[in-house]
Amino acid sequence: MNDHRNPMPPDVTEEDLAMLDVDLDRVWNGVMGDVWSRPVGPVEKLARKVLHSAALARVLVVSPALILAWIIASAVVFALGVVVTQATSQPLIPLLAPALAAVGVAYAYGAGADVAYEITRTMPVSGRMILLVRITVVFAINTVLGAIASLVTPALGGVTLLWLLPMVAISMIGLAVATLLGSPVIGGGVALLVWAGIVMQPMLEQRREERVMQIDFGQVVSESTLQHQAPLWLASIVACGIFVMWNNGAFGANQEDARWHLR
Amino acid sequence: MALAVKTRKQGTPGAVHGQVGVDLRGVGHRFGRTTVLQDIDLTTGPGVFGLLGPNGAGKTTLLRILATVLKPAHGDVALLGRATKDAHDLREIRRRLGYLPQQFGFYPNFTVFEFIEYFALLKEMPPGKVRAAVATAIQRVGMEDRARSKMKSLSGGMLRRVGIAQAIVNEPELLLLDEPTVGLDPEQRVIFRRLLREMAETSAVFVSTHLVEDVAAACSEVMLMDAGRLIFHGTAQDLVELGRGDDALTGDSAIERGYGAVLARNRERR
Amino acid sequence: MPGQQVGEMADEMTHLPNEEPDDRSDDALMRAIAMRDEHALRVLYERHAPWLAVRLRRFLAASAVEDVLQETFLAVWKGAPNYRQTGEVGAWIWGIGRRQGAQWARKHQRPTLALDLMGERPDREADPASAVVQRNEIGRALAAVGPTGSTNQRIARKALIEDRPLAEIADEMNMPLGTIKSRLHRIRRTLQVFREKEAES
Repeated sequence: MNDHRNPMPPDVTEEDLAMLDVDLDRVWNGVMGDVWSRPVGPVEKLARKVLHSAALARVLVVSPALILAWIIASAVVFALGVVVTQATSQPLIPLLAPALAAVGVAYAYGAGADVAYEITRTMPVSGRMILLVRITVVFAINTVLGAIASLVTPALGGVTLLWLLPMVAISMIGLAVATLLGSPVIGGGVALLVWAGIVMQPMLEQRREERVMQIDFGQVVSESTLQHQAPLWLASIVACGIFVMWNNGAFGANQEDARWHLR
Repeated sequence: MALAVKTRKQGTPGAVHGQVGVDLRGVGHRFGRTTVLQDIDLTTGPGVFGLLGPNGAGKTTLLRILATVLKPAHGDVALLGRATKDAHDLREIRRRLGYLPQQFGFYPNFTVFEFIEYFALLKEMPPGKVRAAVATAIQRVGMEDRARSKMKSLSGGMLRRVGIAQAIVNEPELLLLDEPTVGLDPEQRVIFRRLLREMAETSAVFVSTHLVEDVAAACSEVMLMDAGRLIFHGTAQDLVELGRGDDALTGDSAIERGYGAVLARNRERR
Repeated sequence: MPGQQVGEMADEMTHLPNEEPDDRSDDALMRAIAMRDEHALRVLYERHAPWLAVRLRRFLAASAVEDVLQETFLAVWKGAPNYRQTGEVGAWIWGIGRRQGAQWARKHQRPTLALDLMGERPDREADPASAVVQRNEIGRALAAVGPTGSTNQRIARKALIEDRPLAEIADEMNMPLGTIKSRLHRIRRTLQVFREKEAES
């Protein structure tokens, strides 16, 4: 159509160009925005509707990538659990799941809190909500992996989700400690110790009462995740939840500063 | 020079709702038993404000308070015409705020575009406008060639520019930059100063820096801090005047001499 | 104050390295864009966006032109690998631009505007008189294809004037795609005969 050194077609004059009121720079920015970005996936679109927030939807979608190390580690541990369970016919999955979840929550808290923390503190989206979304992702992945693992192990017959309540409770305890001391590692460690203590109880009782060498894990599982302990689980969940929310400024105070050494 | 006259207003301070600027009254802060800020009274409108001072003077703490990262131990803070006590007001302020700390972490596998986009979304920008705004910010800091590079592949200066981009992506009315020119070459600093001057009309920009020419070229007002106090608040020219005629002062430029003069006088007084 | 002014002046006088004006041909740029060269896209944009904006501005408001331009150059970027080197990059871009404009018009419920955009021919001078002439031509051509409201006329309008994809037309008119294609073939021949007759008279 035209020489590239003079690309103007005959119907466009210098005057036309001078009078043009179109912001060509703004258009260019729009073009590059589309060229450089990836379109929003269906999961994120759904999350936007459910969470009423494009910001939280993005947090949700990037969370798995941020905690990838934990996801892989969990998958490995569950896989080992499956192998051991099949070899010994002792149900281990319900005992592993809460521990892994607690580690995951502490890791998510730490990963989210350390990296870009200061900038994130200046965002209008509340840190509480971001934490909640991340914890939900951890629980969801933990439940899925655990369900798959228990599906594959015949020891308790079918899929068991006995560990769900302990999972939330132990994770919340870990989170509360991490928040209190400003250290996700200590928080995760304390959570593991608490869970270990709960699991050891029935084991020690079995030893004492029956003087047997072989521990019946089936009984350990039901003792550890026992229903009559449910009120205890719920109480600790609520207490830790309130503490974490208070710490994050839910009731006016904001204790985070000193703990994260913002000096 | 704006010296504090110690009157305290009853009720929340702050100018007209929605006005560009800040209003700090009697602000002080401490960490444990160390006092890091004392008696800060600061009222500004739009413009670019340089924050100078030796290490430990409290510049970073002041910026953190302005960025709503820290809540001061005492005093009242009003930003963009709103008090910072109400959660709703705080949220509105933060939507219009941009902050670049001295050190910031990043998610290594994010691309430059994704990193800035993440914070644009967290700032609750309208989702339809985010992509174009991110592209604009990338171009304003000259990172077009690396828009799709991963953060972990960037040099220090590039990371800082991406940090600046994330701070300006929402065209903030309140922009807080802590040592933004570290690692930038002279040409990039020129571009940066032009950026600041562009923003001076519609925003209040606070820049903490050690580089005096940044202050001279871009700042409408300069604030000097020492040991947690605001010891000078005026124009760059005022600072230059204060350094005149004193041969004992060292410093390569007139502003540096003025800076030295004010510091010396303040320390004599103490 | 002098201190600030000096600094500012120094900044202004600092010359950032000027880029050499890019002398590549449009075809060369398109090849580069197909290889995902963003600089080439920028050069192409600087060359062609202004006149495209002027042309679109004759039909659309400034903000609509901005939207259409953005879609057009995004389509250029995406379509570059499929572009066949014909040496007519400008015409190709204009084709995309007016189709995007027509799409905008349809989305905003302005079908006659879409018609106008599609009727605009690149080698004609765009004055109101010729636009009227064109519209008359379109009317007569459509009449040659079939009576008002007939299926043939509707297909002709949708396919040739509004430039809709055939699958969309088939969907809308509840007819099989094959039928639409064969009808269109016959419509095109009818129009060719009509044009030959018009040229004679």
